[in-house]
Amino acid sequence: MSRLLVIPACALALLAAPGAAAADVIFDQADADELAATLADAYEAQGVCYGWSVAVDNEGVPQTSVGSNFGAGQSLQDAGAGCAKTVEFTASIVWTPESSESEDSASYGVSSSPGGPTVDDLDDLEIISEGGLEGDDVDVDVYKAVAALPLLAADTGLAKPMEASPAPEADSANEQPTNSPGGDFWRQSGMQILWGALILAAAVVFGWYVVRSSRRPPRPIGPAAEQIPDRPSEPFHQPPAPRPPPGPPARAWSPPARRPEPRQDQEPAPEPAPEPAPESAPESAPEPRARPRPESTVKPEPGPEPDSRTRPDE
Amino acid sequence: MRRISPKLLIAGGLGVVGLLVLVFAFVGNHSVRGYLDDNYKRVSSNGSSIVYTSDQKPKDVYADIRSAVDPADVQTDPEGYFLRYSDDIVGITAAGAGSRIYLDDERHGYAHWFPFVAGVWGTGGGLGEGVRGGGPGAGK
Repeated sequence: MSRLLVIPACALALLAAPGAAAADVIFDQADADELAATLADAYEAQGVCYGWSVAVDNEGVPQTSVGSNFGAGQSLQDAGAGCAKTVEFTASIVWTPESSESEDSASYGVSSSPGGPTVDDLDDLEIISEGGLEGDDVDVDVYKAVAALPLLAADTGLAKPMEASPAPEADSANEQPTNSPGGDFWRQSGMQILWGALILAAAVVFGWYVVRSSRRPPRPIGPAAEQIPDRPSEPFHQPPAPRPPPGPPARAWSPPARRPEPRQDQEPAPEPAPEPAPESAPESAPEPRARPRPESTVKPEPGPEPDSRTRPDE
Repeated sequence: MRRISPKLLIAGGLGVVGLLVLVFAFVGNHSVRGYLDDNYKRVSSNGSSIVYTSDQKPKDVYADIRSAVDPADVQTDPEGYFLRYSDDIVGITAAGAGSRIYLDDERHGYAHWFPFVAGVWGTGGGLGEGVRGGGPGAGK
């Protein structure tokens, strides 16, 4: 019987354990305790109460991370009733589900006694941003911001500054820096070099294009008549006529209405020939081979040579 | 004399601007040691560790150095500001009405300021990881 009671009790304890461990939605418990201890040291040195209060909407589940120089989990409102001077970091973060169309959002501020630091003083340090609170390193950003509150209080005159001295190296003989931060040169000038190179490359490409387009040879432009093709389209009922051999111009034989000469401007000017007798023209000019002639009917027997060759003999 | 095309002038102007940007990028301030040596009063030195002083408040000194030579990371503590560079670590703390600036190489700086940067810039503890409390907002 007692065994039946122990098993449900253990199950309930296991179910409750994660809830207790996740009491602080931002920090691990050790980090929250360490931050509270740091604020406690500042309180002892400066006499100012410090704290943080971060409200998180974690997929609709409200959670908080609070702490102060009085301890992790103890808000300044509850535990700091007797504080004459207070400085508190506040933030509100909304983490939405992955499936939600809404974006994550965050805001933060600094509430302090009159004359104390404001959120503008915190922003001057450039150690926290709304985007950082929405990301995975929210604990780092909040830790830095809360740890900087005593610095800001001293800067505004709310408290006296705390001085630090280098620790003896023997205290950390076995510890060493890790994760090299990268070269200062590229971090400092990387973007500048990138922009300079981009602008220079754009200038070279643009200049090359301008020079190339300005050196393009101009298109040859001749007389309008030269653009007309040499051969006009023949009438469909006539077979293509062969080109006349060099000799007397064919226009003397062909009717100008049926054989328009497109290149009249290049042809020799018509000479005032006195002998353009219509009867002699067929004999002087070679006749197209395919054209039927009346002579073919006179000579029924085919000759050994083409007509064009026999005609001059006649 | 042949007239230069306006487009060619624009290309030339762009080239000059690009060259100027590159020149300024290469001749700018890249060493925190050089900047501190030029702008702050040296108090003492021991090897690569140098101490400077300033009449300005720590916050103003921090802002000045940070804007002049961008650090890789910054840690804050009620007792001071700590800046990490590729080979150096700078600690800025209050000294009376002004500030004291400690410049060390990476190894000595980590050892000197171990209580403030332990686990963050090297071994020895520090903030835990994955604190997002199960929130699904990563990457959103």
